Amino acid sequence: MIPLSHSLIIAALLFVLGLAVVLLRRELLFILIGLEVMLNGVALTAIAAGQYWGNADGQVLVIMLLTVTAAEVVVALILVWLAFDHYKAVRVETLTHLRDDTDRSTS
Amino acid sequence: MYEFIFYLSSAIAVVAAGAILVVRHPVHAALYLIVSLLALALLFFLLGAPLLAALQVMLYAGAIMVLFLFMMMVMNLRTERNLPLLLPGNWGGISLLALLLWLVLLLLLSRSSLDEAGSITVIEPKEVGSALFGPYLVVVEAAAILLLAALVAALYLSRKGKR
Amino acid sequence: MSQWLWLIPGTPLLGSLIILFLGSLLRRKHLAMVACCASAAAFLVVVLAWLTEATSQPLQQTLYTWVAVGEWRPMFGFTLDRLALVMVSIVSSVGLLVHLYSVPFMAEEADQRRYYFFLNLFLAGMLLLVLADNLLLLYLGWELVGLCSYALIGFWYRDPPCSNAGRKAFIVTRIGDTALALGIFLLFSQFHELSLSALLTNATTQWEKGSTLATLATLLILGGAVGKSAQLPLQVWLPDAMLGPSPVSALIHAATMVTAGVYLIARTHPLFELAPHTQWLVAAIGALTIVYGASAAVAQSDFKKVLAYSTISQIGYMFLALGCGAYAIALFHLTTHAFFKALLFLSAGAVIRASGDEHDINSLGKIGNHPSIARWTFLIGAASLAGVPFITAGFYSKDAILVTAWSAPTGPLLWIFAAFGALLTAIYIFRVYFLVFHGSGPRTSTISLPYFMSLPLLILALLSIVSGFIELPEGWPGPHLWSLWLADELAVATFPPLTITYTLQFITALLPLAGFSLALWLIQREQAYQSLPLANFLRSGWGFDAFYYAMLVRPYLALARILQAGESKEGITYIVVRPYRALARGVSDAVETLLIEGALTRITRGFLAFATFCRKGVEYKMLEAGITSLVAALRFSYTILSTTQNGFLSRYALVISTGAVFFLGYWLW
Repeated sequence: MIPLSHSLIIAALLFVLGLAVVLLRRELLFILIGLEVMLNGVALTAIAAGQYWGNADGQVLVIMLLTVTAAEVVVALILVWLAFDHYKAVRVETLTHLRDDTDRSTS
Repeated sequence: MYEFIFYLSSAIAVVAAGAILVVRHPVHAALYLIVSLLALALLFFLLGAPLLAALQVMLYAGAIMVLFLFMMMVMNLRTERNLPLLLPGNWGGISLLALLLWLVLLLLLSRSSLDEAGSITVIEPKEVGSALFGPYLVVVEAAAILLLAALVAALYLSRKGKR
Repeated sequence: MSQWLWLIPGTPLLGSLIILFLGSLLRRKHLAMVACCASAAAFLVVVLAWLTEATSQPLQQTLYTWVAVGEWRPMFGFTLDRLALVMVSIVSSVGLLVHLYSVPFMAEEADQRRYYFFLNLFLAGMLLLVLADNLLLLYLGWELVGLCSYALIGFWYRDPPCSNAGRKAFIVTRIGDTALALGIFLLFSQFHELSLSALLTNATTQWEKGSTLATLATLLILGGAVGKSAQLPLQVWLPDAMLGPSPVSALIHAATMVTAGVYLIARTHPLFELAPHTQWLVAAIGALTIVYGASAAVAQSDFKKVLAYSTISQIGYMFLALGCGAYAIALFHLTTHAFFKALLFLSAGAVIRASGDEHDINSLGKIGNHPSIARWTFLIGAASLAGVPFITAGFYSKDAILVTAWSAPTGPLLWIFAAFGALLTAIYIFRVYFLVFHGSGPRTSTISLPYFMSLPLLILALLSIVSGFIELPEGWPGPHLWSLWLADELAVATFPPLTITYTLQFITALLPLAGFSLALWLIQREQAYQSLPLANFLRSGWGFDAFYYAMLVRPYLALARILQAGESKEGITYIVVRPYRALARGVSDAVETLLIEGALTRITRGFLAFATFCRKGVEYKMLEAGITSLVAALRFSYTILSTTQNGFLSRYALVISTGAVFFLGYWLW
């Protein structure tokens, strides 16, 4: 029997690795993949906890999570494609249109 | 034996996830992600959630990853045409991990090692189903509405001649 | 019957909703038909209520719990007692007639859907106000009618004066509404109860007569009533409200909405009886407003504004009666006034419409050719308003008020005011009648009114005459149906001894005749271009508008302008530098003149140089340094803060995760 804490440690490792991908990589597609990894870490947590308590709630939560992921991936990929199409950008550095552009040369 | 399979597949999942951090090409990242997801599906199965293991394989590895790969294909055709072709050596890591995973799966199937770990509680798909359409019916409805919204958003964003 | 009560406000509400949502599918004619049917349905339900047991005992219906907060559960409930029955009958009957009248009157207008929507919604709100069994629901109706009044005054909103008049009415009545809301809060904080019956019983058992709380509560309620009923000092909105369509003036600003204040005081009269000072104040406000409205009406030249000031003055009579404790008589005057004032407005509207939207009474007299039905019905209404003895309803109700005012505290003084007002009333209304209908224009008419316009005029003319016979004056043989019927719910008025009563009634009967002859004399003077003394003062409504403008509006605008300047680019210059510069200039000027007078020109020059140096040194150096450093500090902090907003997705994600980690760490600790 696997103790609950081991499953949780693995899930946390997955989550942190995904977060690292999100934070460190600069390509939009990598960021999305990192998000997927994070979500899978969460799913593992939910399933492990659900098995620990011996009921189906964890699995229901993961099914919900799957739906959310599917919706998120679809919309996000289209947005990535649009960014690529409009700005020829695949990296986040070029997508800084929301930056505060006020002139600060006078200070 | 059961523990061995569990820790091995979890190690595969973690290593594949870590590899995403360092590879250069998005296709490789996607492949590592597939490996990681498959290993995770195995973990789900070992934890006693067969339905979710199947769904993980079908939905993630089957549907979502195809979307990713398709998107990469479309984008690569346009800009990164002049990138150097991938060295064959870059496939090694992925192949190694996939092979390991396959071995684990074989081990699992051949030994039917679940028998010796009889202490784990398997929650059957039937139970999950009755929970979904019993107390969590509203969640199902919400998921349906969410998917509909995503559908509408996708149609809206990808319509032609919007500029 | 009592389970059908909701239909009374419900049918006009349904009508308005149909017009709102399905109006675009209907043709113009059908829009008017829907609105008329809705008001007719409400009227039919009221008639049914008369025919069944409603007259014997109060009906009660609770629809549902409106709000549930802990122990406090105000219900959406209606009560139909005799007081409410009277009001409901007036509102629904006049409402129905005005709806019918509107059909030909508004037939040419472009935006009928909006008109009928608000007219029906108004009817629903007014009926809700009257039927409400708790103060919260009453307040809902109160605000609904205020909203509809605003929207209908500004019906022709593309015309700036019209929309301004609507806004003015809304803002001025808002002052009263706020007072009423505060009054409701006060009552709730004391009794934790808003149901009217429970509230009044609690108040009469727990508060002693003349207590501070009772005075305060009644003062606040009085504030609400004064705002809605256009009494001094919040009367300024009503004359301007006449820019709306004439049927609206007849229904809202003469017959029903402006009497909501009278109804409110009559409904809460047990509270007012606990506060004698407030009650006296009600009477005093009434008496003053009578003279104010009547005197201002004498000098008006706009046809409808005469009627507006007349309304202000007539509601003053109702307040006087309320203040004297004669609630039934106040309600009696409310009823007759609703009939004859609606009649006056509707016939005036017909005349104005027939003469091509001419409002000036002298020009109307020159145009002539007025519809003869409008002329005769206006004469009937005018006679009823002036109180021509024996044959008109206005005589009976006004006579009762004048007689009962005598026996109140400081009664003779109030009586003098009211009687003077009655004399002025006869003067102004006959002046208008003669100027408009006996001017230099042709008397005979070639215009005939549509059936839908003449029918309401005739019905209202009939009611303006016969509705007085149900309550003959005190001391006369004949029926006293009205006060006996209402005696259970409203206290019986007190009258002075019979000899005084007869004397007073004799004087009251003479007043209209005196006013009639004075009006003739006044017209002769006017035609000789001799204006009244104080005519301009009276015409501007005693200068209330100018006074409020100078005291409230102008300072407010100035404040707004200063604040706006402070916001703009030159703000610092405007607020800091310019006053300072003016001060410096003033000081240096003073120094200069003083020393020149001392004939020390050279020293002057030196001082002048010194002053300039001061100005330059202080003004340009120090002030500028201060402002520059302030700006630099602001800019520096801005630079620091704006680095957080650099547009990099990864940085944002990092910040979010750092925050999450800190939060989790704190939480787990």
